[in-house]
Amino acid sequence: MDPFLEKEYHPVIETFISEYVDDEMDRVEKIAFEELMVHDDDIRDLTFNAIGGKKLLEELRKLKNTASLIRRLNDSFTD
Amino acid sequence: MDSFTATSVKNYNDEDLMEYFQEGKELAFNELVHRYQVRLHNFLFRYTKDHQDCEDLVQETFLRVHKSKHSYERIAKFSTWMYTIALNLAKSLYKKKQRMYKISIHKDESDPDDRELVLEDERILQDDALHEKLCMEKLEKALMELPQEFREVVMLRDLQQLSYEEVTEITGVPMGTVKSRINRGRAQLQLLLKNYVQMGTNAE
Repeated sequence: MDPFLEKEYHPVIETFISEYVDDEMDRVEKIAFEELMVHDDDIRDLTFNAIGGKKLLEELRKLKNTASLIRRLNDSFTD
Repeated sequence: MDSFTATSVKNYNDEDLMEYFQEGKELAFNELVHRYQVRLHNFLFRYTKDHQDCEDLVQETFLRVHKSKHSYERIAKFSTWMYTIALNLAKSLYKKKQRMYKISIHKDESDPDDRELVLEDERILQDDALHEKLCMEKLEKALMELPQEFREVVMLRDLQQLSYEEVTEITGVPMGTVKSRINRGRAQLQLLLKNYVQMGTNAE
């Protein structure tokens, strides 16, 4: 397992990571957190990989919704 | 509350419907089933990987909702309450199946007539549909590779789009732990699919 996945952080840092990934930070918080990431490789790796993972999950959610819509449409034709 | 009619049923939120159902309006329950059966099925599929099990669990969840309607209190969102029931049922099934796997019957190697039956997949898909299906399969496979405690929370947050508070409520895990697991679950999923994503990017 990559070392940055094994590290544990203070809940405040975890909240910062979540808010950054979910794009829920204001401008000042964002700049401060990006400054922190410049100096901490593990937090940066965790955050950037989490952003990638969130995008993949969003993709999966859309694909599932499309598949479900097509299934319901097909069912409506056969009803 | 105003008068409840079949035509206006779609205008009510889940919690209102649940209240009407508690007062004996079956139509309200039917509307809740209509709203959640597909989402619940998708949610449960990632636990069971079996559509038949999902069908059974969805049915069982709604049966429990029906039977325990008076135990629901409006302080909780209806969806949170229902997902908690579904999750508990899925966990029970998982445990039951694990016990069942221990007494599986293997192919008899000494019997020359006992052979594996291979069926061809007759479903032929168009290129786009095939690509989407492959993407979906790849993503679902990676999701299944995540540790259970990571998978559970990223599914609730990113696929069911529940808030962190709702995920905390459903899982019974503290908020800090939920966030930490979601951060790592997302990151690990990205790492699992790194080569696949890069390959897809290069090909474009």
